Amino acid sequence: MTRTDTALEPHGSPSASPQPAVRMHAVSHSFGQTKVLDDVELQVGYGESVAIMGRSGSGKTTLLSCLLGLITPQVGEIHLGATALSGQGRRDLARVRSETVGTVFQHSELVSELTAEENVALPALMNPRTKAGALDRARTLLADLAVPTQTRARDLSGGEAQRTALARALINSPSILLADEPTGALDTELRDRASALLFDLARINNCALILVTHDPLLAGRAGTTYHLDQGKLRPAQIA
Amino acid sequence: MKSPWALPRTVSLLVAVPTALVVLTTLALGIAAGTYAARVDFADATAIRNSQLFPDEPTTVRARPLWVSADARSAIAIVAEPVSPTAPAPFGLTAWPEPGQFLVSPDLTGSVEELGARFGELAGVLPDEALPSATSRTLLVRPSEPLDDQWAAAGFGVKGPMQQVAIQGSGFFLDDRISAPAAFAGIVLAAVLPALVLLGTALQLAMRRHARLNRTLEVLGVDPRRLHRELLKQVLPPLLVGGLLATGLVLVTYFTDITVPFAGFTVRSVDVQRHTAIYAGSALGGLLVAVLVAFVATYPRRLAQGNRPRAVKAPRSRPWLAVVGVAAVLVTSQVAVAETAAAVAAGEDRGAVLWVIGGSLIALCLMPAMVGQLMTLWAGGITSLARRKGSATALLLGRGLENSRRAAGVAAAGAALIVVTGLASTWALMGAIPAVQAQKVIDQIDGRFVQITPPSTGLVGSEEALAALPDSVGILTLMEEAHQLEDGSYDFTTSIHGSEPALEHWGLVPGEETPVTQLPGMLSTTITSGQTTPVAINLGEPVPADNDEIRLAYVAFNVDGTRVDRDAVQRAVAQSGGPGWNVSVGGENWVIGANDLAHAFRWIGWFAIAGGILLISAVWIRTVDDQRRQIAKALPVDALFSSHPRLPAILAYRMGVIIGATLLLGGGTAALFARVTSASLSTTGGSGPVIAAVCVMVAVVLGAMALPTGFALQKLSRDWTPGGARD
Repeated sequence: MTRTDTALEPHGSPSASPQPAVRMHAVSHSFGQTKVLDDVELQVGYGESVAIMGRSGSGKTTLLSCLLGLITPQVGEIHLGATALSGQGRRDLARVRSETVGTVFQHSELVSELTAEENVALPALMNPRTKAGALDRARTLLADLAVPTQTRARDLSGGEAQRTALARALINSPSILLADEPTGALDTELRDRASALLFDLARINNCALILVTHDPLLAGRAGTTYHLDQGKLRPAQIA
Repeated sequence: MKSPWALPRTVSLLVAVPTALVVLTTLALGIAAGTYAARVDFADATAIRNSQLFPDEPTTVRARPLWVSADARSAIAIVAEPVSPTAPAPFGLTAWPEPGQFLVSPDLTGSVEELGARFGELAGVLPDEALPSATSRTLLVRPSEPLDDQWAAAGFGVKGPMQQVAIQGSGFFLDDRISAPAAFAGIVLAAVLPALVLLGTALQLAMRRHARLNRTLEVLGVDPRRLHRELLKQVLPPLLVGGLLATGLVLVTYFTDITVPFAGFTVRSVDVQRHTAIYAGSALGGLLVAVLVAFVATYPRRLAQGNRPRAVKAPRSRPWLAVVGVAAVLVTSQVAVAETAAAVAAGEDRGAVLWVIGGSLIALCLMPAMVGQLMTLWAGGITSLARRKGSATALLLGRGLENSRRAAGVAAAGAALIVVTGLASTWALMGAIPAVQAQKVIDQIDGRFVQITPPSTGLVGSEEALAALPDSVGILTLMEEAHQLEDGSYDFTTSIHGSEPALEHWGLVPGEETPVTQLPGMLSTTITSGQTTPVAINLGEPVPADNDEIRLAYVAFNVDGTRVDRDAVQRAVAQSGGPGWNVSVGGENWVIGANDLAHAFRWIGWFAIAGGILLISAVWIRTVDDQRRQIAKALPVDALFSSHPRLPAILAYRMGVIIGATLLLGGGTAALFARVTSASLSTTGGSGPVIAAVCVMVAVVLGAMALPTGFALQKLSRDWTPGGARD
């Protein structure tokens, strides 16, 4: 993969900001009788990367959902930059996600009828603030990631699709990257390349990267690794 | 860049057609309202709705409306004459007809001979624009002799002992026995609501294509309103195409008459021009409703509490809503039955139509909740049984049905189909059966006598009018004498006058009292209709001229026992006594009333068929969607792990469960409300057979809809590869 100095150039994440990119304070959440998050504390600064590991069903996805504003925790506060998520409406949360967060899904969730370029540009085209030059930016991002721009999503290989999803996450120049098992559907070689790309992009763009994974190799690339067990988030050592 | 929300042509068509139908069904409301307004205007203009005098009416005319019969259906004859040579002709005519002439509305041109016997010579056809609708049954009669001041009134007013007279068969609108609100509610229930169900189903199908994309984009930060706007942008063109097609039809009707197929009714341009606001307003209202439905249906569903792009799932069940639905059906149907029973007991001609329609509307709105709850209960039972028995087929079936919105959607639409068509069928039959029964009675009487009614009951000396009848016709005079009782109230005694041969013809002995019950059957029925007098007294001729007993009617018959020529008798009495004299065959009024009702009720059948087609379409779309989804879910398991194909069985059982829920809730609801009509349908065994027939029809339709899926399944099973069935 080649890298140009255009799209992957740092895009002004507020590294000088006194606030962390992500702050979870005393967050607790239960589903029925099951406490999934128990007094969770987490801070991630711009340019930092964090991996969260844990057994299936341990609450990793719930934690990520809280960060996306899709779950409102029953207790605690979450700030993305200076913005508190609590009390925000559906539209405001969408705006915060659009302006602040880039998300990579386990399955790429591309629109099969659209080309790779169109898929990447789509979230930007839907926002008046980011609409201008969206297709150009998408093309540049994809060129950097070595994805054919005019191929329809349904014809992309697994690696290309996931790289396209990564480009889509970056299209609005987010300051926070959230990734849910981003390499879960890829083979070993593709997984290594994709994870290297993910961390490089986060570092270059000075993004706070939070990824949820079962993969110790992927987690090992992160600056900090946490383990989520019985609702408690604790620092973990990767062997 | 091609919009990822672009709708395929077939889906666009699926949205456009129901939109047009929503507009057309609301237009039907407008036509009903327009016709009703026209009828009221006409009735007010001719003062035939009111029974009091109108002193302020112009004095250029002396007139009286008459309720008459033509071709065994009722009509209104406006008997009128000018009081001065310069009096303008009514109904937009350029000149008055000559004395002894009459004009008929177009709907009565086939009954000219019958009407001519009473009113004289046909002078022409009334102009279309003078009538409230294309099927108005109205005559303008100019009597050959000047009208009696006691009988007619100045202006188009009414004088003398009057009855409430309505313009029967005035077209689109049901007759006076069904109130305007009930008729409007019926159209909403049988047509507008099914059209909305179909539109909602089509929009649901269209939106489901983009559900995952919308959810993904919202997680990525796209404003839901922006997504909504994109979806609306895709849906609006087919909505507008459908709306424009339908409103185009309104424009066409502004210039041209359009005949409603299979209804014997024409939407006249003159009506549309007269009530443009009503017609255009209703069409526009329909389009607005369609847009509103689209606006609601296209709003992206709230995201689920999870970071994967899922929508919020509906609650697993809403027992309270289902309970409210069942309670509403039970209460409203019971109230409707009680109201009807009370009306029957009081001898009042009022029904509980609004209760039935209102209750049915509530039931249809809550049907998804009721069906969903029922199917959740059944699914739980099937799953539990499957786990105990270790049946994979039953397990997949039970779990597949749990909280399945698609399966509940099919059953809810099917249940709506049963309720709408079942109720409409019973109601339509209620209108048709009395006509059949009445015709049987009149066939039994076989014209052996006719009843002659004078212009005003109690017209002393009216026997002179009968003098024109030939000697071969025997006459019985039916009279009534009032006796004041000690408490001040009155008792009435009915007496029958007739010559000795006439009385003997009927087996009556002059001078003897005969209990009414011992009068010859049909004669008793005819002459005592509506009377409570217990005894008949046979007296001989002649009826004293100074006898002040009230003449109720006369019975004329051929002394040789042959069939009476009704038209000949009518012609004779009308020529000597005037157009106010009416001759009817025994039981004829019953037939006329029943025919009027059946004619008006044809709209119920028409709307039931239209609504049925709309709902069947909705059921079909939902069935295909449900089966497609079910195949996508179960095919991989079936293809990879099953020793033999289980999917056909699962789909068949699933359809069976859906049909069961449909029949139980749809049939149950329809049967509860149809109890109101059961008494009227006693000759056909009540409403049960009708509802049962509708249920069988719906079950067959639902079953048949599953067949194509079965065939498609064979191909799908053959072609399936891992990963290919991902939904």
